[in-house]
Amino acid sequence: MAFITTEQLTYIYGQSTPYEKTALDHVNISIEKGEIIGIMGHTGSGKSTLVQHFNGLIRPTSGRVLVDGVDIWERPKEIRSVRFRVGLVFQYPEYQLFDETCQKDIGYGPRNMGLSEQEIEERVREAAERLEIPNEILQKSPFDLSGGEKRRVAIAGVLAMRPDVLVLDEPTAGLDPQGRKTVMDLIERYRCETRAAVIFVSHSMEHIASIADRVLVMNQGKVELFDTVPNVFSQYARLKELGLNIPAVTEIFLRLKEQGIDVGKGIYTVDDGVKALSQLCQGRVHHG
Amino acid sequence: MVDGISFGQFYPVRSFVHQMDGRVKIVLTIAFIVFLFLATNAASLLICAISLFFFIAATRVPIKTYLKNVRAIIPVLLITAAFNLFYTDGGTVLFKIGSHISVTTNGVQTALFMAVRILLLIISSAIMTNTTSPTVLTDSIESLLSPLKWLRLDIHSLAMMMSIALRFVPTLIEETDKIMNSQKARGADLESGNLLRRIKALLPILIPLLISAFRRAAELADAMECRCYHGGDGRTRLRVMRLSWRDGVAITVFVLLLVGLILLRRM
Repeated sequence: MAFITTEQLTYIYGQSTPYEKTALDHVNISIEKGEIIGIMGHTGSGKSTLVQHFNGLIRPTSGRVLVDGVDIWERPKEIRSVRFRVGLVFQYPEYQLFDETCQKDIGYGPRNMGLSEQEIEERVREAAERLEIPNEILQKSPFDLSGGEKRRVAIAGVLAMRPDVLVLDEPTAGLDPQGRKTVMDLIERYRCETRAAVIFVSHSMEHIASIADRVLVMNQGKVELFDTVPNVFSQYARLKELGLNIPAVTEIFLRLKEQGIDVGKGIYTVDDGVKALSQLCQGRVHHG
Repeated sequence: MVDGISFGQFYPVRSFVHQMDGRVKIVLTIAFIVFLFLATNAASLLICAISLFFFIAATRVPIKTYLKNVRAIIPVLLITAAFNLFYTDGGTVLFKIGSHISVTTNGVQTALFMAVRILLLIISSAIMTNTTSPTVLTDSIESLLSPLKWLRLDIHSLAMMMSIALRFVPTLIEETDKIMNSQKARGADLESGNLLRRIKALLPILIPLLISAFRRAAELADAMECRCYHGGDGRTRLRVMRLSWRDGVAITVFVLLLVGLILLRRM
């Protein structure tokens, strides 16, 4: 059964004012446990608004959000319990850090859950391990860290709640290549080890192609495409129309094909590309 | 969600009043407030209201905006009116509440008078802020206060601080919203518990907000220095403020109003 489902989810900003704007327009999606979903779309397409519905930060104008089969707004007073199950990491989450030490800051979520001190400590250690945060950093003030370290501490603060669904809004924005890799590896590992669903918003086609099971393409508040990686990235023309792109490597192989060099279809990652090229070279040697 | 502050927000259209000189608008608004307290009888208050109405019409700002501005001060209006109603003696007693408080005809009159006065006062300042952009407003204040330079006061810095503060209000509101949401996503509970608990629950929002405000201030200072900002000495302006015929018309209307008020006082 699907873990997160939206039914006719609609959200209108500034309803009945001159600034009224439909941010989400009858969105119907469902996401299973253990899936990795990549969300992409143009700026203002409703990505961020959509992910804030998953944990009840925004209440839908109409339609429903179901988590584990239950409408999350059935008991509005208990919306906090939904936020513990659906962990949301905002864009630039390092600006949410506030406590004296990283250890305490990561423990803020678990403490709000009302767990015992022992349990909190256990979870902080586990989350820190997942994000490769060494012990000496845990004892430091979060304001003394570098940008990349702050980002990891902030993500650990959400992971420490051990959410069943991890939602990340552009988690790699502004990070260096090493930092981006750490975050992408984390997403895959978290899914493998906990069978949680991971949903992430990204502008990097490469990241989406390399780890997502399915891709959700948003356009003007509507679901444009919601399908597997090959099925989405094969719609090259449509994606360009929406101001989006396909992975650079896919584009190279499409051009090669136009030049008459058939290297096969469905190349979305650099690894795929290397394999296809080496096969092609072997073929040439064989023929020669 | 934190709502934007809507009182007296700049309403960007082109109109007679919008194109008036900012300094003239400030001076005339202050003059009008003085006039309101010179107006001691119903007739003089009425001519104040009429001239104000003409200015409202000349702003081309929808009447709805003014009503919104007025709505914000209804509580103040009612409280002032109530105090005047119950604490003014004289005239015929209309009715009594208990043995001490009595409502008299004079009371009703004063209460109404005060309410109308405050109403006109609010609308007149709303006209100024609705039609003057924050930049022009601070430039005008700087220009009006410039005589104080002789007292060795750094008026330019004061005006610059004011315009920076105004500029960052919306930014900080947006930032507060964002931080609140991220702490709520980690289960922050801002709505329950006693006062002490609620204040403690605000810390995870206030600390990041304060830190980001300091960070922004430092960045802004660096950016200004990179562009060789060194205070007001020798600085020229993009828009030089000049008086126009519109200001002449407005000032004439005000002089006529003043003459009218003086005549009505004599009567």
